[in-house]
Amino acid sequence: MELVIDRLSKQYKNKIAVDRISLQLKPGVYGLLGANGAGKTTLMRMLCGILKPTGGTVTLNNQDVSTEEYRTMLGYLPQDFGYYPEFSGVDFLLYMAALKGLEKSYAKKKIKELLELVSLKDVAKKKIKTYSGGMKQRLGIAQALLNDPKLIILDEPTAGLDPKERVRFRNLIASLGKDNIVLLSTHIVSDIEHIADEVLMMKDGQLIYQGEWTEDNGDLEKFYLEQFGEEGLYE
Amino acid sequence: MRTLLKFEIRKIVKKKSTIIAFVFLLALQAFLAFAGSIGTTYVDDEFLETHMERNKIDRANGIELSGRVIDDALLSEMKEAYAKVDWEDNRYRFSSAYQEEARKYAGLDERIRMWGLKKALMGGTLTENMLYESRKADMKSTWEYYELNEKEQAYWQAREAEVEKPFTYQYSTAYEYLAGMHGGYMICLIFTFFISIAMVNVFGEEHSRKTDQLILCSRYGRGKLYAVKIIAGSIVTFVGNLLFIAVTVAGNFFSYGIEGFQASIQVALVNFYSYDITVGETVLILMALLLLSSIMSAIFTMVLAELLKNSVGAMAIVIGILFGARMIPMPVSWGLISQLWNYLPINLLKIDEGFIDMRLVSILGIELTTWQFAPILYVSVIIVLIWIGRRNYINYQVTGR
Repeated sequence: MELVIDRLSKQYKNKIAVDRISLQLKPGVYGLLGANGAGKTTLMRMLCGILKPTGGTVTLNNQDVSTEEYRTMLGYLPQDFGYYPEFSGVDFLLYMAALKGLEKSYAKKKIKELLELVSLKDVAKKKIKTYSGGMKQRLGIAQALLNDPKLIILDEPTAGLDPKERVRFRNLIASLGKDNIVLLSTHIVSDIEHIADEVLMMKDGQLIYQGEWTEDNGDLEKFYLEQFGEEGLYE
Repeated sequence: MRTLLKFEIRKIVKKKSTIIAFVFLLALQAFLAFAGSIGTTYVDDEFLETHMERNKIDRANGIELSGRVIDDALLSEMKEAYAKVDWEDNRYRFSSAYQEEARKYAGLDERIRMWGLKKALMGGTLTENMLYESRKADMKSTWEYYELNEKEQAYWQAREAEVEKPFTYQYSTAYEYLAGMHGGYMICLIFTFFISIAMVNVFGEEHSRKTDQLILCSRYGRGKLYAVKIIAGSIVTFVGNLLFIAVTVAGNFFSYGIEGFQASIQVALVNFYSYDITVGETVLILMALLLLSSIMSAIFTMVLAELLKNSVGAMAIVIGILFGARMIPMPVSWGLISQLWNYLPINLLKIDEGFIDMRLVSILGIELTTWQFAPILYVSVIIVLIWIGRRNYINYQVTGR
C-alpha cells in the first residue's frame, strides 16, 4: 500500500498555501508538524479530496483522490467540525457508516467495537448535545475508523482529550500504523515524538523536514522551535 | 441508500425549528379550513343561527336544488319566491318568506351575483337569455384582456362548443372553497413558509455545522448523498403538503359536505371559462399542481441554500418571491413575462388568476392551457435546478475556517 503525493500545490490568489510537496508514504505513523498557517490543514484537506489542488496529484494504491474507491479507503478526522445535536452517538455513527457504504449489520458490529474502544459505550444512546468536548472528539475518532481505512488522516486528534485519554489514543494510533498509513498533525510535539515513525515538518507551504526522529537527533521540540525561529522562547 | 435516506429525513424532521413551524402552520391551515363552521350570525343584535346551522340548511337546500337546469323555468320560480321577501327590511332573514321560500335558491343566488346580475335578479327582470348573454360578454372581455390571438380564440371556441348548456345547478360549496381561497392557493401561501424554514438546512446545515468535511470525504458524500438529500427534502415536502391538503379537505367537507364533485366549473367557479371540466376535477388538478409545485419550491430552496451557502439569505429570497409574486402587478401587455409570472405557483394556484390565464402554450403543435403546461414546466425546472445544484455540490471545496 502506498500513498503517492506528487508535486502537490495549492495557491490562493497571491498566497501559496502548499508548495509542490512530493511524498511516498508506506504503512506507518507520520507526524505532521508546523506552525499555524504552515499549510498542514490545506495539505490534509487535499489528501482527503475536499479541497482541489492547484497542481499535482494524490493517489492511494493507484486510485486518484477524486474517486469513490479512494474515499472508500479513507478515514478523516478534521480539526474542527460539528455534529447533529439531535442525533445520539450511535445514530451519528450509523449515519456515517451509511455514508461510507457499510452494510447495516456490519456497521452495527463495528460501531459496538469502536464505542468500546473510545469509551463511549455507556453514553452511546445519549444525544450528542449532552457530550463534553472530549467525548465529541472521541466520537470523531470512532467515525474516522468505521470503514477500516487504509489511509487515516487526523488533524489535531488529541485536542480536547484528557491526559489519560491521550495516552490511550497514542497507543491506538501506533497500532493502526502497523498496517495502515496514519498521517496526524498536532501542535503537541511530544505526541509525535512518542508514536510517529516519521516526522514531516512544514513551513510556508513547503516540507522542510522529512525523516525518522531518533534520540540521536536530539530534542524534537527544540528542533521544531528552532525551525520556526522561536528558540529564545523555548529557552 | 435506504438507511441514508432515513437519516436525511430524520435530520430534517427532528429539527426544532421545523417542528415548530410545521405545527404552527398546520394549526393555522386547520383553523382556516374549519372556520366555515365557527361563529354565529346576528342580525340587529338578534341571534339568527350558528354557522353550523347555516351550513346544514344551505346544504340541504343546495342538494334539493341540485340537478335543476338553469333556465327560465327555474329563474321564474326563483323570482316568484324572491318577490315575497321584503328585501328592504334589514331583518328579512327572520321572515318565513325568506326562510321557507327564497332561501332554497341561495346557492343559485350566489352564482347569479357572481355573474354580475344581482340587479336584474332583485328587480325581477332576470331571464335565461340575459344570463347566458352576460356570460358571453364576460368571455369576450376576458379574451380581449388576455389579447388572445386567432389560434387561441379558435382553440377556446372549440372548447366552448364542448361545454354543455344550459348549465345545471349542483350544490358544490366544499369544492368551491377547496378550489378557491381555502385550497391550493392558501396552502401554497402557508406551506411556502414551512418550506423556507425546513429546506434551507438540508444542505445549509452541513456548511454551518462544518460537517461537510466529513460528508464530502466519505464514499457516498460527493455523489449519492446529493440525490438522497434532494429526495429526502422532496419526501418531507410531499408528505407535509399531503397533511395540509388532508386537513383542508377534512375541514371543508366537515363544514359543507362532500357533494358537488360533478358541478361544472362554469357554474361553480368561473363562468367565462370555456373548458368542459367539473369543479371536483379542478380541485384534483389544483392539488396535484400544488404537490408538484411544492416539491419544485423545496428543491429551489435547497439548491439556493447550497449555492449561497447561506440559509437566511435563501429563506429571504424564497419568501421575497412569494410576496413579490402577489404584490407586483404584471400587466398582460408585458406578454411572455406576464404569462410566465402566472406560472409562479402562488399565482397559478389562484383559481381566478393563473389557473384560468387563457393564453396557450403550443408544444409540437399541441395547444396546452396553463394547468396542462404547468406540470411540464415544473418538471423541467426541477431537472434544471437539480443539475445546477449537483454541479455546485460536487465541486464544492472546503476552504478557510
